[in-house]
Amino acid sequence: MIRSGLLTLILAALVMAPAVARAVTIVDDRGRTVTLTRPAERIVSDYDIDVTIPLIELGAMPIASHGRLAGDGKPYLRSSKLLTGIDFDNSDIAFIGAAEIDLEAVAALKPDLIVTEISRATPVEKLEKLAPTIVINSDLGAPHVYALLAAATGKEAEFKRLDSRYRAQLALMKAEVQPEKHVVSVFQPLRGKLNVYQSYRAIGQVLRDAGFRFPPLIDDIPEGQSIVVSTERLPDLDADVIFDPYRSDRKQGARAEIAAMERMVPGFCRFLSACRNGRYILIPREEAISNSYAALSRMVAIVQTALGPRPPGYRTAPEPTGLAIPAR
Amino acid sequence: MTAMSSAGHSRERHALLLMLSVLAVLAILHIQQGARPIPATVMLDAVLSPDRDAFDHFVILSLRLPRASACIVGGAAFGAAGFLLQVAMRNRLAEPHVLGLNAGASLAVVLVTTYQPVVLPDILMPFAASLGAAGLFGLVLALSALGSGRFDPVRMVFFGIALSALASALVSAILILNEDTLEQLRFWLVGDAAGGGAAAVWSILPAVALGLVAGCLLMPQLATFSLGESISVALGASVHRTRIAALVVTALLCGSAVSLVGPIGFVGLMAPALWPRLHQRPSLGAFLLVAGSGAAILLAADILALGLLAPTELPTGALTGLAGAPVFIWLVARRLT
Repeated sequence: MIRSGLLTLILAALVMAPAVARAVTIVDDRGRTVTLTRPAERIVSDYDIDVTIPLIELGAMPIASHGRLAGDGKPYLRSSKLLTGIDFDNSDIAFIGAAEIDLEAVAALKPDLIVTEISRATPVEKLEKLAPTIVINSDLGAPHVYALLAAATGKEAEFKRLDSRYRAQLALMKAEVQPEKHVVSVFQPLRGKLNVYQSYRAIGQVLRDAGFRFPPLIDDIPEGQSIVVSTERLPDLDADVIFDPYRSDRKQGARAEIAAMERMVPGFCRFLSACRNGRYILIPREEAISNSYAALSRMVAIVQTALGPRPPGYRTAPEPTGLAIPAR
Repeated sequence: MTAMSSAGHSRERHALLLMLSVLAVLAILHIQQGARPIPATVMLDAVLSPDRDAFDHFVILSLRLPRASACIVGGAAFGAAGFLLQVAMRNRLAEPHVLGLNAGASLAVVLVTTYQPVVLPDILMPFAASLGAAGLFGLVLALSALGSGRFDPVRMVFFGIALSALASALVSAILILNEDTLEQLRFWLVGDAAGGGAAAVWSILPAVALGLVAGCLLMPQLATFSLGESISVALGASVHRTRIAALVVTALLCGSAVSLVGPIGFVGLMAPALWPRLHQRPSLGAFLLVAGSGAAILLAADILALGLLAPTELPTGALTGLAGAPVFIWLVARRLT
């Protein structure tokens, strides 16, 4: 009798053990402690660019997400198709709102986890009534956000793979371009002013992680913030390479960005050595703005190309003219 | 009568001279302000022997002069529009910002910028903004005349405020779904002269010049309005046609100014209020005086916007709002008492 009772207890403990081991406790970026009975599977994302894309990349496909509305009224996940290939139109992710998310729709989906971002409008107090909710701060960068999301979804192995790929790419780039020797800056035209970032999302993370130097005007900006300065400060932003994240969602793309700079400072290139030397690099904002490993990889490649060595006699033309290939 | 009229003309001439002197002083002060310290000798060099590759020369000629010009052109347009509106509607509280013209122009610019139905050349943006201004103001007029068949000044102000709020809500709704356009327009939406580069000033100059010339041509007809509508009709003025023409010109001036410096408020209210009894004897001189005063107000506001929290620049519209709101309250209080 005693023996059979002990056996039952041992069996029960064995059955229970994995469940207990799989319980997850997370301290989120608002300092809240959130406990999940097991890694989340039915996840709702309150922010497409900073939550949905990382979840997709980690292999924890959310069941619903915040998104944007295109001009024709169709919802889309900002930057996601570019970086992950996934969007509302080719996945089972449900669209739950473009500004604030629809809480009734969220409740109907019975999620086991809601992930929101610190700047989002929907109060976390409302969300946590529907399901355990964690808050991330995307300003802390992709590795931090991915670590938190991986812990909540049991995707630590995938996180390690993505992180090691990024570190390897970064190491290769550092060996090639010697970042500590170069000054770089990132800014955009803003209707008669210049919008300057201490660290602009993915491109900022790559430049800081690699150890590039920045002009004093940028170094003086508090961490994670941006400032708007007069166009008169343009020479103070000159560098070996300048990155300008242009609006890639607009019809005119990079040409519109150049036109905006030209409207502010006609012939601006002559006042910037980076531009005169062919190193004023326009990068698509839809990629540069994302805090994802996919974006970090793209940015590493762009930085390496922008700063890599050039052969003697190298010259750049404003636009490729199309090389005529002789007929055989 | 002739002696009185000649004394009036002389007063107007003196006031115009005074206004032009103030405008010149403010323009010089404005050009001296900036994020980059530039010695006066370099400023003179920039004007007398400009060097294309000297950044300081570029700052003076291509940044500061166009910005000061944008303030002058935009301020003159706002001031003239306010005075035209007040005389045409016989309502001292009529102000483009209060009556929905600025909000209508903003909505048009935000719609065109966000949805880009066509990529509009810079020179056409003032006309798109003018259409927006005219559209919303037309709605204000239609609603304020509903039932009574005449434009009631108080109802005009109420409907102007209500429809401005509606247009602003639409602008917010559009921009909340489009973070990048919000980022692009956030300064302009408060009213900001920094975006007014030389090309932008040149592109709106024809529209503003057209509006000012049309305003000058309308002033003699509008002057008869101050005698009352029946006397005005007896003197041969077509009240309805003149009023509609004045409102079209107001929309053109407002739309042009908004597309250049954003929906800056209260300039059209403050500029006429600077000169006592101007509405009792509207004239060509009074119109030019108010246009010049509008330019001076916007220059002064932009000098403060540049200097108050330097090196951080404040939006110009924030300053005119701070000064203009008390003027509006004062005018309403005076009317109520």
